[in-house]
Amino acid sequence: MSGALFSLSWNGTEPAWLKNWRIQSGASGFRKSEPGRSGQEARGWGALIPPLLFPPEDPQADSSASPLPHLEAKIQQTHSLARLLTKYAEQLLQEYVQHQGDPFGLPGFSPPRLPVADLSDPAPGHAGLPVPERLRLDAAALAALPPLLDVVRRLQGELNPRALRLLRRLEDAARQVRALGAAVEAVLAALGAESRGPRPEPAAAAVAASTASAGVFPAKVLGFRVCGLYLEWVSRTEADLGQLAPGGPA
Amino acid sequence: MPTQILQIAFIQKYLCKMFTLQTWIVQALFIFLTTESIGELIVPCAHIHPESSVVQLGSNFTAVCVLKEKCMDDYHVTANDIFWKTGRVPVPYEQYSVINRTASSVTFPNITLINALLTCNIRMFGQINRSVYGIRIISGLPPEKPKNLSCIVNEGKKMMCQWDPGRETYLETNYTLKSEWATEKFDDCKAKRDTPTSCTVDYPPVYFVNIEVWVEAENALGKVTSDHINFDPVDKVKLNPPHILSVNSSKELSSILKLTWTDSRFKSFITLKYDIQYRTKDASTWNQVPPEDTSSTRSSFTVQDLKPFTEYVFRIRCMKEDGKGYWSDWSEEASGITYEDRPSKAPNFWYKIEPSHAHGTRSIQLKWKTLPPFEANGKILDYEVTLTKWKSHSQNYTVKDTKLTVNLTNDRYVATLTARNLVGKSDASVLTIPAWDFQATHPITDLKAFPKDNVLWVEWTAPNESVNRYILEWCVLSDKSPCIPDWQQEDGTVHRTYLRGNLVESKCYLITVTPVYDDGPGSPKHIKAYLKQAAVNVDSSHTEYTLSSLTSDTLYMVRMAAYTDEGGKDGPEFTFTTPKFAQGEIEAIVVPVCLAFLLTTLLGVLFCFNKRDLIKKHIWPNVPDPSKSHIAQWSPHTPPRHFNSKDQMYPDGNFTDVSVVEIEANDKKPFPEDLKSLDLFKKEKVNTEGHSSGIGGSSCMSSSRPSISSSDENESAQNTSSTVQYSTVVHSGYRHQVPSVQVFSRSESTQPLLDSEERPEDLQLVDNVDGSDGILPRQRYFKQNCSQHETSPDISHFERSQQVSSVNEEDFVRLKQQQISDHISQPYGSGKMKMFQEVPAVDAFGPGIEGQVERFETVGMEDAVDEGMPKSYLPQTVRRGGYMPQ
Repeated sequence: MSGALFSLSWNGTEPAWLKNWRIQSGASGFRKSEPGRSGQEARGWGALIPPLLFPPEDPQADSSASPLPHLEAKIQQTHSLARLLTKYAEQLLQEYVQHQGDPFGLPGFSPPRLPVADLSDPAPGHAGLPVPERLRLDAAALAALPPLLDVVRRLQGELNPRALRLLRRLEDAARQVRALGAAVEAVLAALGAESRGPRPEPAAAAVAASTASAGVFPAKVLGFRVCGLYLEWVSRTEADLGQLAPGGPA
Repeated sequence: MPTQILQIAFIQKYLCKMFTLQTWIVQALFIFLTTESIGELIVPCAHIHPESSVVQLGSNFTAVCVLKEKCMDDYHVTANDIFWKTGRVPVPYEQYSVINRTASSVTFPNITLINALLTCNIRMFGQINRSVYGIRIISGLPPEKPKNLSCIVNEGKKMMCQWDPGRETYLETNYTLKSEWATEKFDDCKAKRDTPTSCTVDYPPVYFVNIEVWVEAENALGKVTSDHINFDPVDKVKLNPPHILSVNSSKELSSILKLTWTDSRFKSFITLKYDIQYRTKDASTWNQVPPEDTSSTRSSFTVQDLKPFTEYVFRIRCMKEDGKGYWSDWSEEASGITYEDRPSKAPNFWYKIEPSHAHGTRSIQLKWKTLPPFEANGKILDYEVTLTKWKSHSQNYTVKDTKLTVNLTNDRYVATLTARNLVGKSDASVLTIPAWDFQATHPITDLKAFPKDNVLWVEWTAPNESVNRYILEWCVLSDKSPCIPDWQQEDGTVHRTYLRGNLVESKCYLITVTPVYDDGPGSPKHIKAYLKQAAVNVDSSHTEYTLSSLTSDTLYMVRMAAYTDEGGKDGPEFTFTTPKFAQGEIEAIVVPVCLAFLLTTLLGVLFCFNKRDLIKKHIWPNVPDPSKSHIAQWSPHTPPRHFNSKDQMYPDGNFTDVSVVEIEANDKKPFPEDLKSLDLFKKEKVNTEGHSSGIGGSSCMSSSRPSISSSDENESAQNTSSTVQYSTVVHSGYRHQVPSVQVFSRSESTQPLLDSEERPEDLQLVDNVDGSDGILPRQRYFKQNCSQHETSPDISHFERSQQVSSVNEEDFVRLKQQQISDHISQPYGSGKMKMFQEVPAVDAFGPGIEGQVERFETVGMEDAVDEGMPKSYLPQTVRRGGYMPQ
């Protein structure tokens, strides 16, 4: 598991930062601590032996003594953020559905995946792309999400003005996804794979707003769609960063 | 255009816009203002520059007052007429400087801490002073650069940052915490006035995104910014403490406890490390689990090297594994008990030979000590004792107590002892009980005993032979109580120990040390010692000293020792016994007891004296003396005979003379004094159940004072002799069987009258009279005798009964006698008496008493005696054969 990270390469060329990283962190890479494995705990009750005979196997304490390189730390931090936001996105989608009423809460409800301006679904075809390229797509999608989330929050403010927690989550999600997008771009910059220049001002908000004005149900469907896209993109970002993060794919 | 000067008092004005939020206000500013007629615009007469002044401590401050030309013209003043005040205190002129005709300045060098009103004043013609303008000057310091900015994110809460604001500024200083991401800024966090050194941001923390934080401090004298810190909030987190779920022991290992807990939900995003501490329940210090064993996320840990059957208390905390952030608070404590283990040590074992009268056997008491908890390793269920005689079978005993008495032969025995708990047995403690003719040898030498550190130490030199162990026994030496030894066991390598018992001071202990060898105990050695002997230091100028706090009836030994700087020497010892009672102690006991006895006696006498009548009534009630009674005439056929007690005493008591009483009808009304006494008598008797006693009671008709025994006034009755002579009436007929002679026999009887004899029940039978005329005899009797107090006709029988009972039966008898007498020879008396009808008395008494009660008729009553005749009492209940004491 610990060596999975370093088996990954794209375009057959190992970037320089990875070489440096390997040199600094050692050939075996990083081992992630595993709960319950250290000490006598993993051996069961019948084979309990005093700890002096079995010093802790996990060298995590030693690794914490030497600071991680900046890039590694940045990737790890961004990856953790993506994991955290994935969790938040799940909670957001769940809470969003709770406040929309039927048929959103019914099992099997699957509204049509309407296209959202400037934001496409994560395509399965991206799986074959190199990680930096995938990260570029992630960053673009993350950049498009905040205005959409703001629109949804505005719409929900009208539809569910008392759903304060939902509104707060939407507001936080917009901010958090901006932070994640910025972090991914920072990682890309560190990797030497800059994002493709300044993006045009997204028109998604205006389009989404016009769609929402068509009625309550389309507004709810739009929110449902945006929340779903938010979850999909942060989840994909987490997976993509997991390719780079110490410890390999999550 | 004319101008009008208005004086506006107490115009409150905020002089300094910078301090609009401050609470201080310019309290009073007396200024003259000119008002122009058009629109009444208020125009100050002067101005001070600067308008608002916050001055840095230690700096120089100069203020300039500029007069308006118009005021100068109106009041004929110039800058020379300006003077300054701080509050009400004029500023010395040395600090003034007249700049020109209209302006005057004042300078405050090296200004100190100040917060005062500075006013510009003018002195007008006639020495009239006026304030024309004022400003508030405040001194202080600019804020220092905040230092030591740090933030903490309590899990589930918002981020809080704090800093060191530096020196005191003496001014209102605002601290603002600023924060931003690389992508956006957050709202400022303004520190509250009461907590200017910290601020809690208003947004939830976002972990894994670096945030930049800094503090701005600003007051009237400047603004300064702290260093920026940039961190990931996850590195400043203080997690919630773990929650200990369980502490479990293991049957396989008695030295471990497994601790299980739940963590913060955050553990799925960060790696945690733990700090586990534990202690025994009674301990105060905590033991630490090595940090390296708990440096990764986990949910359980097994603590080892614990003592068996011991309760341990655990607590745990956690933090980020890399050490960034803060330790959580300690969890709530949880405890668990390790499993039992077999006793780790054999019990201390010893024996005592008890006297036995049986020939050829010995009574041996085997005794042992309970194991302390850390050696018992569990609850000791019982002890197993094995006694083995040479080449013979073993005798096994299972004992729950710590002693066992067995009868053994005089042979040599080997005793073994093991303690057993739930898990197993201890090692065996072996004791050789030698044969009776065994000669103990090889004693220890140089036995010493001395107190030190409040314990009594015993020290000895081991014999040359190998000693298995030593037994130390000790007891208090006393003439009063036998030596009941306590004991302890020491290893064979020990040559010095202290007695682990509850020893007391000033007691002489007899200490015995016995070495124990393979073949049995060695020869014991004894020594006497004190835990602490009472010793006093007496100044050399004294030649006597009083020992205090001694116990009574106790033998003491005293030894004097004299000391110089070079040393001391003990004098001879002498003994004395303290007396059982202290001097004066007996007197202190006897005198109060005697006094108490005397007092009690005196009080008793006084009580008896006060209650003498009551006592007399119960002990020797009043008995009328018949000898003092007067019978008018006993028989019409015999000469009247007076029963004068004095004249008619029959000391021999054998009087059996018979007389016939002749009672003359007398319609005389009772004397007033008799009526009076009768009233009293009736009142008492109606209201109480007391009954007269004695046969000497008089009727209402009696001219004499009624002899009511219960009456306190009847002194004569009290004087009645204890020997009472009763009369016995013997008659032979009633009505148609009228005896020719009424026979009265005076009997001598010493029997007192009983209360029961006077009970209303006796007379209540009268109520049962079925009188054809409906009038009871006693009613008639009362009407007859107590005409002034007629019984209410509607009173109940019971009440009437009481009334009847209240009348002395003597009256009844007397009445009867009169009836008899009348029936024989006398016509009815006065007309008043005729109103009474005849009622057969036998009806009143009923058949039950028919044989006892003489029949008689109710006849008219007359006074018992004439005035000239001696007072007499009629005999009481008449019955055949004589009177019967009632």
